[in-house]
Amino acid sequence: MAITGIILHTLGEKTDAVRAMVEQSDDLQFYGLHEEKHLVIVGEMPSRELKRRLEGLEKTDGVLAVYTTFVNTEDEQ
Amino acid sequence: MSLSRRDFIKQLAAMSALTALGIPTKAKADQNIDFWSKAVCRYCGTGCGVMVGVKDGKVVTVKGDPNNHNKGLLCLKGALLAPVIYAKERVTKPLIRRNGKLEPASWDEALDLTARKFRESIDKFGPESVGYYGSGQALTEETYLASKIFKAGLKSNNVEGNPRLCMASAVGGYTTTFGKDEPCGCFEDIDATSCFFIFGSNTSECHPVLFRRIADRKQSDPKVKVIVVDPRTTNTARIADLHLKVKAGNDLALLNAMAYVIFREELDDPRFIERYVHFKDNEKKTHTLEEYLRFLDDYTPEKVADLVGVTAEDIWRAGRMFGEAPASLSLWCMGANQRTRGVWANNLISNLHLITGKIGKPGSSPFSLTGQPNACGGVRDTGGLSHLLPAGRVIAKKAHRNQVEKQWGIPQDSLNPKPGLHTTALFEAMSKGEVNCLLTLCTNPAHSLPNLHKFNPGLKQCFLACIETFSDAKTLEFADVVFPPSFWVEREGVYGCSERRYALIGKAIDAPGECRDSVNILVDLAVRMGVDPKLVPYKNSEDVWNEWREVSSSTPYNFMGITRERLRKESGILWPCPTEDHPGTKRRYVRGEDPNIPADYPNKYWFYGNEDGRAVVWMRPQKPPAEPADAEYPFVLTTGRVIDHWHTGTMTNKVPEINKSFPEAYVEINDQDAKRLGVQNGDNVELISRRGAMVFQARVGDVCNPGLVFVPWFDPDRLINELTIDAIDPGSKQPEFKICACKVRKV
Ligand code: SF4
Repeated sequence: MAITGIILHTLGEKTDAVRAMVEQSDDLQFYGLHEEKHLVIVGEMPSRELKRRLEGLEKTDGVLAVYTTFVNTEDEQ
Repeated sequence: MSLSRRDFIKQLAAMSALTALGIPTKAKADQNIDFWSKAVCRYCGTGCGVMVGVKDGKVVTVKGDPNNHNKGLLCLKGALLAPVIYAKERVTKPLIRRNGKLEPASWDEALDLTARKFRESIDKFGPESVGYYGSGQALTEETYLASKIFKAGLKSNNVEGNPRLCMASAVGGYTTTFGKDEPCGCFEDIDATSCFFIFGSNTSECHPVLFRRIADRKQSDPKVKVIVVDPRTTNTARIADLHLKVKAGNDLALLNAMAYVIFREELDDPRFIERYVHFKDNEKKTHTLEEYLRFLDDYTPEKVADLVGVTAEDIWRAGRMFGEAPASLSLWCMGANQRTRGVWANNLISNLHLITGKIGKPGSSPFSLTGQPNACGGVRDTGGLSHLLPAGRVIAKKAHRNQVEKQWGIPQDSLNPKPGLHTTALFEAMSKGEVNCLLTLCTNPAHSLPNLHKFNPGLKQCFLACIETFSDAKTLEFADVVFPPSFWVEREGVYGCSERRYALIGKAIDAPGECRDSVNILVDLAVRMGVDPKLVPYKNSEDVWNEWREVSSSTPYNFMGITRERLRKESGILWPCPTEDHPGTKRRYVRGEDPNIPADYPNKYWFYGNEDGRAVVWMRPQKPPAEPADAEYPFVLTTGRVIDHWHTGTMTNKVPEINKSFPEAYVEINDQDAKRLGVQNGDNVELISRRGAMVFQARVGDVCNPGLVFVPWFDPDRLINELTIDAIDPGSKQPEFKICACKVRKV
């Protein structure tokens, strides 16, 4: 499983809904909220699914952009 | 992996995200770093500042530079740069092709063989039988030096580079409109604008950190509007208030129609027009405002809506949004440039700013986004193209040649007055045996040129010497000699990004094996070719930089104040910057900001690149692309980048995390078209153009317009450029990568 550091840049009024979605997802862990618009989360998913998962997050209502800041795949190697 | 180790890595992942947001963290990893060294990201034209963490002489991590314009943020590519340095594919010894195979050789053997081949060709066929092909990823010093060696030392103006494939139309647009190349605004305009007009740019994938700034600005004020013009519903288009999902290739009509709307709605700025603008047609004949308005009468939204592929109502909305906004910022990229009418598209975008006076003010500017990290600095500013000399001078002008001859200490009228061959002409001349020797630096033309079947024979036929980092670059299949260069933070040098910001890449580590700095390779090679050593008296890139500052100082570019010392301390400076206490210039052509305009100049603006001090509003008519879809080839093929991969993939395919998540290119196809063709997501489909055929896995969805297919071009195993067209813009000579006709077939 890859471990990924992710920032979700959200629309202010939809931040709570996006956070709730993150907290309900098995493969995402919520770490913090910055300036009411940046959710810091950590994802755990096979790296082959990473791209698709990030694209899915990007298409979530209220998400303006997704930034990946860290990927570790050492236990897949 | 044990649970605790896993938790530790999760903490690291979260910390990296917090650090990217500028939130201080006490990263344990920091304690394991010997020192941090300042650099610039190796990838896109955003030019993010990075800090490279070194431990035991190795780069172990990369983080954003909080003092540079990116404020500490990086995208995934930038954050994962470290593994690229240590790729097993690094070339670490010179190579010479023997019996069809590249084999290790000594530096003397490789340099002598190359020098002899070039010398023989020059002696037998003249200086124009040799050439240089560089890169918007080379250092500024490398391109300046290579251009000087070839133009002054060997008397060959066949000096080109891959920016011809990406930014030449922007150069043509700026020089025909303003008389000088390069954008007038800066990244700070993003924070001050009230209307983004994003034209042919998938900023979210191609300039991700800038996109974050755009999204931030939009979110900070509900009145900020975003207009996106793109035939694909990209991630960028998803934040648009108005997405004009145009038919590919007919957007010149759209730009003229927006100008029409601006006048009809009286959103123009008559005072600015009267003082600072004049109107010209394609024959360069000057016209009155009334004549320009009559020209625009052919472009009412109602007349062009069908051609453009959007509703007249949306064109009215776009014109109003642009014109009504207190400040409008146009951002464009390859969708405007990689076209047979790329210069015209650039002109027409600038027109919108000139007729509304939305230029030279915070948040208002026409602003092309450069693809590569040093296409502005490395190639455009230093004159690394076949028609240019350093600092905006051109070969065709005797006065410009004479200025440079004096600065370079060579006899008057000794530079070759004939501009050299532009990129596709150069590779064509190689196929015809008219150019026999080529030196490449940091570029991969056997992957990145259009219509590869046409140009590859030239690469095969000529003597090809490559200064190249990675052994799996396609071009090395044709190389006779390979020189291994130091890569990225293994040597010091300067990059200049989209906003005229120059920043230093510091040397942080030693290069592996026998790698040498490209500046030293070029100097050594030049001397062995017989170039006068007095012409290349440089020990390192700093010597070259200091000469470049001098050479620029008598021009409006003026880098004199951008000393190496300042670059070491500061995280980037925007030119012009004439003195060491000058802060750099955020907005050009504006009195009080641009040091080229005297403080007592009577007007606020001065477009000093043009003799009369006025910018040109061009009357450019609609023209179709070179190869539109037709009955036989009913689809339009367009190509581009994806967020994960960089250009020809030679760097990003060395990063396991990227490669695993995005191993191969695909074709994006509209769901209606897919249904009609019986194609489902994941099916193999064949794309067939007039130049070749290739199979890709289909990604079905609503991203592309019906009738459009998109393929990313990074994949060396699926060279989409075997299918693209080599038709070029007659002004900029840039190929039309964005549009050619194709068929699609399920296989
Ligand atoms: S946005 Fe561009 S310059 Fe910045 S980190 Fe990403 S690739 Fe590098």
